[in-house]
Amino acid sequence: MNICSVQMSLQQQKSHHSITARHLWFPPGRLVELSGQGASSACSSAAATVVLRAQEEGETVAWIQPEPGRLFPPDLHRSGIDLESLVVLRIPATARAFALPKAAEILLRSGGFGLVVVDFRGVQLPRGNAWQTRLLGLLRQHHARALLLTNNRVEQASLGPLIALRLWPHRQVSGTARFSILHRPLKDKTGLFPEEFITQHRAFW
Amino acid sequence: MARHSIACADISELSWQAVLRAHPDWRDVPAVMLESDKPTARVIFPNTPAREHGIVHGLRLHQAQALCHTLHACAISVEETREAQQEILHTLLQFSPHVEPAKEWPGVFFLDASGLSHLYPSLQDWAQKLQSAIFEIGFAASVVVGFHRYRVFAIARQRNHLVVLKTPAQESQQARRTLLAKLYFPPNLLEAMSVLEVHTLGDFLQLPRSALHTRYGEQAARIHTMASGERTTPILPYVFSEDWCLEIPIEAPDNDMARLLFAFKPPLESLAKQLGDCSQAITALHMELELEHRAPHVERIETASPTLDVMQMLELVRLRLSSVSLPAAVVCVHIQVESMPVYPQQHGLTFTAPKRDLAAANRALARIKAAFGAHAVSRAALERRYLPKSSFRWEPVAKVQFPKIEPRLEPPTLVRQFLPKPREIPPFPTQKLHAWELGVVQRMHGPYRTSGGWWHRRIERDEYFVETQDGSILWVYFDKRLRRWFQYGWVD
Repeated sequence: MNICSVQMSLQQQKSHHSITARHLWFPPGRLVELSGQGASSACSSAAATVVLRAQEEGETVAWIQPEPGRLFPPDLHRSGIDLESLVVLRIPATARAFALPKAAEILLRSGGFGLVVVDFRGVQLPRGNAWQTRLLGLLRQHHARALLLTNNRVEQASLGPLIALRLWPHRQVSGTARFSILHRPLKDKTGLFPEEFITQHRAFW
Repeated sequence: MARHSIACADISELSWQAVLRAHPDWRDVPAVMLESDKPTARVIFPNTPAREHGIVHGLRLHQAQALCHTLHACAISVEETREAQQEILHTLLQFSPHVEPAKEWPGVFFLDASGLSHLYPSLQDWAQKLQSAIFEIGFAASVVVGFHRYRVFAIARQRNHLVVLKTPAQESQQARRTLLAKLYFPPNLLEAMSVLEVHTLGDFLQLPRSALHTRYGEQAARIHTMASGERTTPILPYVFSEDWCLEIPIEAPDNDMARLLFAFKPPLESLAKQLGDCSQAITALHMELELEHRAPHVERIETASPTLDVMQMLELVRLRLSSVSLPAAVVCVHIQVESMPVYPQQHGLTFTAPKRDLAAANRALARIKAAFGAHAVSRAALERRYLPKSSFRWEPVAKVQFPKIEPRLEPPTLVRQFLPKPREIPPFPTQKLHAWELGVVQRMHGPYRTSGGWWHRRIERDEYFVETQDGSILWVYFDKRLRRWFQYGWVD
């Protein structure tokens, strides 16, 4: 198994069809979407590796989801994530569709958060691209990262033209109580991702 | 010659003295103080006549009354003790600008005794007037003037009434005679010392500190350090908090947000300036909006950190009020401000900018709370329980902090999606695994038995992870009490 950093040179990447690494990671200043629907979808597990990598880099992280939310913190803890420093925003169900991006904007505008994960699954997606424009500007200004989780099917379009990278993480068995998550790039403006990027995970049984 | 710098006023058994102030005739008759106002309450302080009847600490009231039929008893509330402390504090402030009530020793106050030679003929005179003033408000105190914080406290606990020490050596010698039982030692440490036949402070200071730390813990070593005089803390003067209030009448009743905020701005700015002049900053705003012909609307808004930034506060008010629809026009606004003292920050000689500005992050969280409610900002705390719903709780976030990560070699685990309420699912087929409505079963992991709650509602569940042919991993359980299948969630 070849464990290496994601940010390899393009020349090196061309010689590989897939890369196996510990975390999913991407450069700051980009809007990244993890989308997937279906039985083997693995958005939460993939997002958790991003959170873990951000925390290993010393970044402050916030996870935004609608209330009551489906996040299961004990699994994050088992993955090595520091729950004490992970801020979880649970936006009331009565708030409008733009409430989640609005919360992300407030956090990113402060410059105090290095990674913001916004879980749009189970809510109506906000229309238009203006909120994406604002988020992108703030990500670039503060050198931060944003990860957007959606239930969009593979054949559907991404959230918008400002999404720099859209991945479809899906799960496969790779051994006894071992799984691989294959991140297939559905859209890549970064030029950093090969055909597939793989992270290894263990089951909790 | 060393200068006297500190005095200690010890009002021993402050709560009992407060009781005697209310019942002066109880001084010479059997009387006790109770932990609460109930017939089964325990005695926390018996006076000397009560002790002569065999009444001791810990007895229940009816037991004490059985020993003495003419016993007087009362319970003193925390509020009454606090009021007594405040009264003593006001009295002491007439004698020194810096007075510190000792948090860990009730009834003990430290005063700054320096620079009083211009006001009083001598320190003896000052100490006598101080003691008399405390006596006039109904309390008896021991007053000791000396050089070192812990030593003057120790001497005051000997109940010498009034002592002005001449030299630090005299102070040290006198302090060493104090019995440990009078120094509010932790009970287990006191017991340990009595086993070693260490009864006085002098004997205690003879013990090696490192051995104390190893055997009895950090607290014992800390007391030793304080008592030895190697370390002392300056007086932390008590600062009275005042009620800062604003009343903003709205001449023409209005519920337009922009106009209301415009009306708030000048009085808030003026208040912020007054607070700044007193070295105070705002930590929260209580707003009561008087509405036309309706009940008032009340909001409480907290800032991320003490601030005098009016624009920041107006932004928080705007975020909060924009999520509220007022049923009528506002006729008047009452704002009460919570504040705390702030001091100018000292900049270090070497300053490394942190990666992220945590103060800015905290301000962002304050804005989120103002917009969506305080409960919207939380973090997860794990609980040592087995049921998934009980294995964690959401608790409010006070401050953002940088992560602390321990490096791990093993790969991360999969993460589940957890349904807030388990969903009933079709029964699991024990034989025709291909016929299950949720998918063709390939593998099942489990059962993982959970049982308990027999004292409330018995829980017996067999938990499984079911891998289906289409790749999903379902997290299900069989409830043995209800004889039905449910789904907790799935692996995502």
